[in-house]
Amino acid sequence: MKPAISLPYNRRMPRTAFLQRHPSALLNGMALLVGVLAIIPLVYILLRALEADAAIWERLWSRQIPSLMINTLALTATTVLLSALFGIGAAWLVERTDLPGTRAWRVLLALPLAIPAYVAAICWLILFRRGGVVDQAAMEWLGFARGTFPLPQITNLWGATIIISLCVFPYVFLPVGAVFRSLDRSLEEAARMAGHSAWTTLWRVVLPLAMPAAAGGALLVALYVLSDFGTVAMLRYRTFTLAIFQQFAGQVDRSAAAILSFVLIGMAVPILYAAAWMARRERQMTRPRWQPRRLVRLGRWRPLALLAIGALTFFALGLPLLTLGGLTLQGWLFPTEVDRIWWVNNEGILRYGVNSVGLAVAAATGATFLAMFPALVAARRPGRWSSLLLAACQSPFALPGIIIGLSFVLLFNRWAPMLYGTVAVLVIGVVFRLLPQAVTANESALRAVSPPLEQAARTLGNNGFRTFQRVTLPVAAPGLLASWVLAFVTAMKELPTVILLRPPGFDTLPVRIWVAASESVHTQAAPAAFVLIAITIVTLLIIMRQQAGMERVLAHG
Amino acid sequence: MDRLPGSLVARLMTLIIGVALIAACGGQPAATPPTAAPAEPTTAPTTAPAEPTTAPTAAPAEPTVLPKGEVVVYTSRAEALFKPVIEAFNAAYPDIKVTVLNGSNSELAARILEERANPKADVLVNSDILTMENLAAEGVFAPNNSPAVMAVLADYRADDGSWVALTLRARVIMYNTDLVSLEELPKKMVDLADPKWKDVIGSANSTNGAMMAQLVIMRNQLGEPATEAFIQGLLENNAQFFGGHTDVRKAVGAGELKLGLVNHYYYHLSKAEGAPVGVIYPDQEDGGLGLMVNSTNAGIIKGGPNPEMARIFVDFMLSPAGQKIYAERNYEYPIVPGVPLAEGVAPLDSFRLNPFPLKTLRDELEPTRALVQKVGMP
Repeated sequence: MKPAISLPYNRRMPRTAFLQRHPSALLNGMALLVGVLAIIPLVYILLRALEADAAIWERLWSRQIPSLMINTLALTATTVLLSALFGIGAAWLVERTDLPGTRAWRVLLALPLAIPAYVAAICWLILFRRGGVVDQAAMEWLGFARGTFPLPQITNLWGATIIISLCVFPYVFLPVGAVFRSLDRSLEEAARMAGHSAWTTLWRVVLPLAMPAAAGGALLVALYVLSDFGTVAMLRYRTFTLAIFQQFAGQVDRSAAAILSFVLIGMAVPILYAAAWMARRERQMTRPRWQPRRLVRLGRWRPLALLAIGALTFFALGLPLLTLGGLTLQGWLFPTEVDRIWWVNNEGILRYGVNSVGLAVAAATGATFLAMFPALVAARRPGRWSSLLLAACQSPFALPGIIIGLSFVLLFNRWAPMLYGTVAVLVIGVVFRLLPQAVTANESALRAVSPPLEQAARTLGNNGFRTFQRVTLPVAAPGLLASWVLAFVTAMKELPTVILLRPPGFDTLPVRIWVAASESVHTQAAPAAFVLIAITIVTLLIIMRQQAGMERVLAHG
Repeated sequence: MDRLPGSLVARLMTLIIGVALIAACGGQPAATPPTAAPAEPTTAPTTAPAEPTTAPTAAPAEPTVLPKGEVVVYTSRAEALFKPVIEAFNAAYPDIKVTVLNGSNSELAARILEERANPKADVLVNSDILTMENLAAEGVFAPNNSPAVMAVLADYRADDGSWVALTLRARVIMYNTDLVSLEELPKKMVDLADPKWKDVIGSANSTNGAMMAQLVIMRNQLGEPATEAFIQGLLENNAQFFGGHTDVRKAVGAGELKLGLVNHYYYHLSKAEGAPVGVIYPDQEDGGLGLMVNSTNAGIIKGGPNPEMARIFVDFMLSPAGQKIYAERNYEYPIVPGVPLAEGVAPLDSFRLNPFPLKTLRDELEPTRALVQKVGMP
């Protein structure tokens, strides 16, 4: 692909204005191609749903859809609320108060992003199911009879809400934290001078200013919940994605699954629109003149605040890591026959790890590269065409990965059978799964490049491509790198697309986790999960050294 | 934030060294599994040497030249069970590389259907007779007239051998012996609908092939109203519906639930783990429904890349060596007569069996599914 793009730039259109008023036909063409490719899964599903028998529609509509809708919406609402509470609360404590260890908390509270919610669900199940670690301990040490120790019931709405919220609250925490940190002191001072107490200032000035960022994050959380599959499957909470997956059961006709997807997409579209609207609104909130924030003194509330934030960190990060680490250690020290069969040893883990990393690197690179075209068009030529393009590129966000996977299976079988069943198709599938996120992140990275810089480069006689290469790219690099890392982390965690598109013999860490967990051998899922999380955490830690890039991406993500 | 690049490099180095250290620490125990592994295959080959003496009956012409190649197997069988099969297969055929793709029955069926124009798999080994029959009706399997397949009782294979049962399993009720006393135990399947079992039953949901096969049989034998009342009773009893039976047996073993509707070997697996469980083979009274049975199966995918290796693999699964693994490790009933059952497994012919032929299950699947959806079983 690469030469096809760079050659025309160099040879055929040396003088074409590239980043300014007249974007090249090639740029637009590529952007259009990406947009079209991105909506293929959507079109496939719509066609399949529309060609379905009316009787199936009616049966689903009268039986399944109402309860699925209630379940899905309930989970979305509770998760959004709880993660907003976690995210805003933590951001306020870390950025606006004199809580000790600000820097450490900033990092620690971003890291749950590395933990896939389905892995967290496995950890909670290992600990809190009947006959699990806690139950065993209670019977052994506290003398409870079998089956009598009161365990929290987690295979329900509340369990799913808490577990997912603990994994996704960084979507709120990071952008809100960024706003809190950069908030102009003069606004608060004005409020205080107007006679407001610290408390009412918080409610009437500080929080409203953080609202757009919080809402942007909350919408991301909502989209996550709508497309989440692994967690609800493991907690046996029936939402649309789980029902879609189950619709394949023994059923040759897959139109019922398509219909359910159709309805799910219908639910996600308004959220997508709202997210885009929020992101646009938020950009207008930034202002140039700036004075550092003033910290609230916690005083005697300090221990309590530390406890609260410590507990959040523990449950979001410590609990999964300790559980998985403990089980992994146990597996290493006392390998069992079952472990051997599951290939839970270093050789096995290494192979799946290499597969995972290879896939994630390839897919993240592909997605960041492809996303560049629509992002450039959107960043430099805002308007109807570019917002249509963005909407197209973001449409995969509304699709559960299983649908993306299936549509690629079909398309490749029909049009490129020689490619089907290769790693290449898997990479392509994941690339399109990552595309919405990469487009948004790339766009905000490119927006950070001030147009006058490019204009200056052009005035000095550089052509469009050279300007892009020598000015735009270097300036946007930290943001683009952050975008790549985010895509990498998402690809590492990706489950449904990989389940469907992996060629025989190419399993990744999430697939191993899934296969083990769906046979209810949670313990054997632990080492793969531990390695997966370790890799993503290390990646996140490296990129968080460049905080600006990361936050820019997340604030607008 | 504005660190020197040097310090960033230093940090990266520390990380890399740290990761390397962790990997190195991990490397040490890595040395143990290989030493453990050779110890294990010695147990597998002990079963295998018995096999070559019998296998040549299937392939008498080529005992000296071992076939060479590759076979791609899609399977919904638990990896813990399937891996020993492959190890035994490779002990007999060291030059055939087996590539496995795991997935649920429905996932794999969807995949095979979508791949129909361009098949990637050679063999499907699954544990759901209904899916198998559906796929056969769609024409995804190649006929297989291998003597090993044709030797299987005609009730347990397609007429043209395009799918063949490998093992049988019986539908039973397992119970927690700490929580249920002998005299109050249900005797019949439909007793589970009795209100006295409220909140204590675990069952697989209707996406599970074994559960669905049972409902098809019940609907055929007891009639639609009785089956509807049975499902309705389960729902009113607030039965816990799981995606698979492992969760059911674990919940019963742990005392979370009292009764579990499972395949018979789940009882044996729990028993082997030391859980306080017992088993009921239901409907044994005169004129009763009888024990319901379903099967695990294999089929060769039409147009798959390695048809010859696929036949060898299926033949092996039907050989005593292949059959033994499921019988021994998973307490299933081998389809080939004469293969010994695992200790403690009651032979099928000691029970009154339901006469409904597995082969025709699919014919009544649609009305049964409609019934399930009408009642609203998960």
